[in-house]
Order: sequence, then structure tokens, then C-alpha cells
Amino acid sequence: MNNIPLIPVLLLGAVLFCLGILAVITKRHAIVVLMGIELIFNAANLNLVAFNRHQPDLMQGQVFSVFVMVIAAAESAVALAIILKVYSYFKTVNLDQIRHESDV
Amino acid sequence: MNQVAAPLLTPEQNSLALWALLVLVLPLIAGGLVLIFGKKLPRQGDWLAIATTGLAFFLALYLFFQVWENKTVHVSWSWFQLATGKTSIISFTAGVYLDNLAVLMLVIVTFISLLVQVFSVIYMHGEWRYHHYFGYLGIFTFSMLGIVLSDNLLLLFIFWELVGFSSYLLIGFWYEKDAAVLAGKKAFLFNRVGDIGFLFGIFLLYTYLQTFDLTLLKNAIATGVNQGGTFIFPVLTGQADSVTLSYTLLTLAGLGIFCGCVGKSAQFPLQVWLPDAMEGPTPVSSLIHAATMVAAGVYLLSRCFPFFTEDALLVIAIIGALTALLGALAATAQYDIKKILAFSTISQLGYMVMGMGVGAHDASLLHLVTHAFFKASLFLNAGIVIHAMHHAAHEFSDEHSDVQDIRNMGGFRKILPFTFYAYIPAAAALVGLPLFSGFLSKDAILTGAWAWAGLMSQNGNLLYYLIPVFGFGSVLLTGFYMAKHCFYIFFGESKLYKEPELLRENKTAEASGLLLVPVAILAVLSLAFFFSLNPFSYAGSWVMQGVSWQKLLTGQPGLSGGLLPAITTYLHDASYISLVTAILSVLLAVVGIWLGWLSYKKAVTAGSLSTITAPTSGFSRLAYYHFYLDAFYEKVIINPFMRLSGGAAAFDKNFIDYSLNTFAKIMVVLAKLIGWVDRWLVDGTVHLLVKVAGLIGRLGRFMQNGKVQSYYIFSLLGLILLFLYILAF
Repeated sequence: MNNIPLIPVLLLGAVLFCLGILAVITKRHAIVVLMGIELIFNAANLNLVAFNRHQPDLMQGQVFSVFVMVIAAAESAVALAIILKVYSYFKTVNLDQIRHESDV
Repeated sequence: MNQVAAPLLTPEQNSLALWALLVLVLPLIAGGLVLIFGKKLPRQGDWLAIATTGLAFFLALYLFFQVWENKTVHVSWSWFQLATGKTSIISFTAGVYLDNLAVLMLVIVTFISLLVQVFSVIYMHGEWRYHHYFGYLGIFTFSMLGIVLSDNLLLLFIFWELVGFSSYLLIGFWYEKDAAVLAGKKAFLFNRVGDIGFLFGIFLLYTYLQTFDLTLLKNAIATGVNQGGTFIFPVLTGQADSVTLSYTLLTLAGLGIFCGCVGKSAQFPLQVWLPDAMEGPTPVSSLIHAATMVAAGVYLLSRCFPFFTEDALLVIAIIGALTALLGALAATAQYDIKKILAFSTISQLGYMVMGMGVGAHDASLLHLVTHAFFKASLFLNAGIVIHAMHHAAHEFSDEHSDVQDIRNMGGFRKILPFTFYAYIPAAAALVGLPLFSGFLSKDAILTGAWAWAGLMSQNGNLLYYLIPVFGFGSVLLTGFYMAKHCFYIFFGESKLYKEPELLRENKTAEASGLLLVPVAILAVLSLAFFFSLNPFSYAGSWVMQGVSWQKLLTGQPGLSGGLLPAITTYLHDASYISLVTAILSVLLAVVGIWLGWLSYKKAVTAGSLSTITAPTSGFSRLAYYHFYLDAFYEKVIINPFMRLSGGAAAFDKNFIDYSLNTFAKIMVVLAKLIGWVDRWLVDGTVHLLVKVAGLIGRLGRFMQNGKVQSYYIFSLLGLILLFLYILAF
């Protein structure tokens, strides 16, 4: 467990990041997009944890990832609230249909 | 020049000048009115023209009695000003100058104009441009009076040209006839040749003496000092120093002015226009081409007499004598009634100019006056004769015979008795028989010429005597041609009037008062009695005393210096000259008449009186064709000129037009090229820019499509690019 090499972990983080991006870009449902964002957060967290393990003298990486998780939770709450308001205004959460007339 | 308005100008002088201006403009106003409204006026407005001319005549008479031998009026007004520099301004004046000569001419011009207009009422009756005729006469009278009244050379030149213009209009009055059009053109062009010289003379005088004003010029020249060939004039207005002029330059200026006289007064070598000018209506020939306009040259010589140097006067005398002789010679061979009179006019004008040249200034002017009356009379009578001939040819003769050829005439003594009795005194005056006016003036000129020759030949050169010899020769010839003229017209059998009732009819036609009154008045005025109380001596002539150089030139003979006083004293010392001249000239005239009678008799006995043939003998051909002067001008001047203008036209067409066309073509090609460049390069760039801007705009629009996810992609791409940039550098 201690000698897990750095590179595969980073690659995993990158894969997670790409999947998150893919979700953010391709999905129409706002909540799924939010989930993609969570994936990206977690990819970043994974990187932070991995780098921390690579240089374990300080606990910066792990602390920072805990902060990220907390903030991500808060941010999700806000984002879900926004989505609820959007839904009540537009009667949909499909991103393709949410569009102001002035936006072309 | 402002000093013209001298302080001695009195209200009386001013009013006289204004009256003179009124005389001047009256004919113009009447002429203009008749010209414009003549068609609508009753009788086409001839009464208006005649009435105003009559009024002008009476005003002229008033002026005459005010001014003659009494005073000289010179009033001038500022005409226009020219700036010659920042500060200096030259002002020109125009004004009226009334002295003995001017008022005399004023009376003569208005008087003869009046008579001729009265005569024309019948003569021109039924002409389809009757009112134009009177309008033109009005313009002519105005211009002629302008010449007489002008106080400066510039103004005089303007009127001089106007006179030429109205002469042109009246010569070409019957412009349906080609000959009239050509004659008008010829007269106009020949006059221009002389006028160029005149203009140069005026310019020369102005350039050096800085004034056009005749009085100022006269004064300037009187104060000039002759220092061995150069004249030094004191300070003139607007000049810092005195002016030095060489004798040659002054002679040239004088000859320039004389050129104007050569053109207008039909002197050798420009006299050829006058015989052709007879194409105009006969009253016009009488007024313009005999009595007044052609005498304007002599008037000019008198006005400018102080500007002529002795050499210039010599040239004038030679030209005058030559013209007198050539004109008389040409007249002997003519058969056209008007042409004979025209050549005779040339000859008499030659006398006047010769008189000026030899310093017989007053004699020349006297001849101008007497000639005006008797020549006007001759022409008007000739008009009556031609009128009768037309009538006869129309009624009687079926052949188209020349109605102006004196060989077709004859017997008019019985048909037109009144005309005959009016013609004879005028003809006698022309020949110079005693008791008639021409005797006085011709005698005076010949005496002057003789005295001049005597004075000049004191250095032993007898060639100077040629001038009076030419003069005396012309007297003989004048007698000859006038006698022939009268015998052919008035004596013998009538060739056209053979039917008695026609004859009677024409007698009543002659008796029309309006035709005969002017003729009668002029015939009476051909008597010497009116010009001198002693009809055998010119010495007591009131005209000559009034226009003597002592009075006209205010005693300043000008550049010719002592010539005039010398001739006066010479004549005083050799008083026999006057008597001998009188006897000799009368003898020559009588011999001339006798020769004319012989020539007529010969023609009668040979039965060749009415055979119309071209002259055969060498000399008569020479004289008939006027010494081939016309042919000479045709060959030497007109033809080369026409060829030159033809060449110029060809050059213009083949070279200048060609190069212009080529240039134009090149320009079109260039323009097309530039158009292409403009369309494809300039416009292309602009369009490209527009397209690029559009593209950028479209890109921006594409990116800002309102989709959150695409914004995200773009920001992601931007981030990747940023990374790549950082990695790359």
C-alpha cells in the first residue's frame, strides 16, 4: 500500500478529469453537469492527495483536499439551489433550452 | 492728367460742352430707336431720324456761332482709372474739344447727314429694310460726330472704329448681292490695316508722353527742345525725369498716325477699297464715302499736325500727291458713273493729304469743306441719274444693260434738266473753275505745295517740285474725266428714253421735291461766294482764316518746327506764286475739259459712243484696272495668306488634331488600366477587409451563442492553448 507509484494515480486523476469534462460538455441535464463538476473536483483532490503522498513532510495536500471537499459540498448546495430556481423560471433544466431571447 | 480740368472752366463752357454732347447722342438715340422700333413706327420712323438730325444740325449751328473765332472749349471728365502699382494710379479723361475746326466739322457732318437722309426718303423708298438704313445712318452720324468732338486719341480711335463699322454696315446694306458683301469686307479689312498703324502711333505717343489728351500732347510737344536730333521734353505728369525722344521715333509715331489716315481716307497704297465701296446705296456713297468719313483722315492729320516731324510730313506729301495723280488717272479710264466719282474722291483726298504734307494746313481743310459739299452733290445727282436709268431699263429696255455705265446714258440734259443744272456747278467746283468753291481750295493747296517745294529745294534738290507737278497734272486729268463724264451723261441722244411719254413721266419723277431740295442746296453751296467774299482769291476766305494753323494749333507748329512760319514768309515774299498758280490751274482745267470734249467728239464721230468694250490700249487698261493694285494684293498678300491659312488648317487637322486624338486614345487606355487597378486592387482590398471583419464578426457571434457548455469549451480550449504556450516557450 505504501509503494503505490505516483504516475498511475495521476493518470487516474486525468481520466477522472476528462470524464468530468465530458459530462460537463455533453450532458443536457443540469444536475448531470453538476455531477461532472463533482468528478472534476475529485480528480483534482486525487491529484492533491497523490502529490501529498509523494512528498509527505507536510500535510498540505490532504488538508487542501478536505477543504476542497467542504467547499465542493457547499458549492453543490448553491448550484442545486440555482438549478431549482432555474427550473421554477424556465420549467426545465435542459441546458439547451435555457436561453434568453437576447442571446441570439 | 487731372490738370485737364483747368481752373478757367466757366459755367458757359460747361454748358457748351453739354450741348455738344447732346448733338453727339441725338443721332445715336434716333438711330437706335429707328433700328429697334422702326417697323412699328409710322413711315418706319424716317421722320424721327430726320427730325433729330435736323435738331442736331441746329444745335451745331448754335455751337458754331458761339465758338467760331470766339473761344475754345475744352471740357473733360474723368473716364476711368487704372492702378499701375501699389500707390500710383493713372486716370484717363474723356472730353469734348470745341475749336473752330470742330464746330465747322460739326455743322458740315450734321448738315450733309440731314440732306442725305431727306434725299434717301425718296431714293430708298420701298426698300424692305428701310428702317435699318436710317438706323445705320444714325449710328454713322453719331460716330462721325464723336471723332470730331473727341479731345483725346483713345476716344477718337474708338469712334474711328465705329465709323468704320457703320461704313461696313452701309456698304453691305444690300447683302443679298455678293459684290456688296465682298466690298464691305474689303473696306473693313483695308481699314484695319491702316488702323493697326494708327494704334501703334497712339501707343508710341502714350508710352513716352503718358497722355492721350490732344491738348496735353500738343503742349508737351510745344515745350520740347530739339537738341541735335533728339527732343527733350520737360517733366510730364507722373514722370520723374524729362523724356528724351529720338527724331526717328517721333517720325515713326507720326507715320503710325498717318497710317490711320491712309486707311480711312483711301490713300495709296490702301485706296482700293473705296471704288468697291460704291456697292452701297448711292446716298451712303455721298455721305460716307465722299463727304464725311473719308475726310476724317484729313481731320485727324489736322488734329495731330503738331506730332508730325518734317520727314513724316514729307512722306505724307508724297503719298498724297501720288494718290491724287493715281486716282485721277484711274478715273479717266472708268465708265461706271459712281466709280468715276469714287476715283475722283480718292484723287481729291490725295490733294487734301498732300496739302497737309506740304504744310498748307488751312488750304487742305478748306478743300475738305468745299469737297464735302460738291462731292455730296455729285453723288446725289448721280443717284438721281441711276434712279432714272433703273426706271428706263425697267420700262423700256429688255436687255440687261448696266445702268451705271455712262456709255448707256446720254441726253439726260433734256430728261433731267434740274439735275443737269445742279450737276454742272458741282462738277465745275470739282474741276476747279473760277467762281466755284473748288477753285479756291485747290488753288490754295497748289500754291502751298509750290511754296513748300520752293522752300525745300533751296538746297538745290529740284525733286521737291514733283509734288506740285503731280498736283497740277491732276488738275488737267480732273478736267478731262469730269468733262467726259458730263458729256456722256447729259449730252447727245438718250439711248434708253426713246418713247416720249416715258420721258414725260420721268420728268415728273425728277420733280419730287425731297430729291431736289438737298441737291439744289448743295449745288448752290458749290459756289465760291459762300467760302470767300472774293471768289477769285482764297486769301480772304473766312474758312481758311478760321482754321489757320496759327489759330488751330494756338501758334505752336509742333515738331515740324519752323516749316510753317517759313512757308508763310516764303509765300509772303514770293506773292507771284499765288497768281501764277491760279492762272495755271484754270488753264490746265480748261485744257482738260477741252481734251474731254475732244475725246467725246471722237467717240461720237467714230460711232463708238455706246459700244461697251473692255479697254484695249496698254495705258487705259492699266488705269481701268486701277494699276492692277487689286490684282497685286490678290497675288502678293491674299493668295499667300490663303495658302498659309490652308496650310495652317492642314497642319491643324493632320498634326495637332492627330496628336490630340492619339493622346486621347492613350488617355483612354490609361484610364481603363487605372479602372482595372481600382476595381481589383483597391476595391479588392476593401472587400477583403470587409470580409475579414465579417469573418471575425461571425466567429464572435459563433462563440457567443448563449450555450453555457460551449462557453465552457472555449474557455477550456483557451486554457489548453495557454498551457501549450507556456510549455512551448
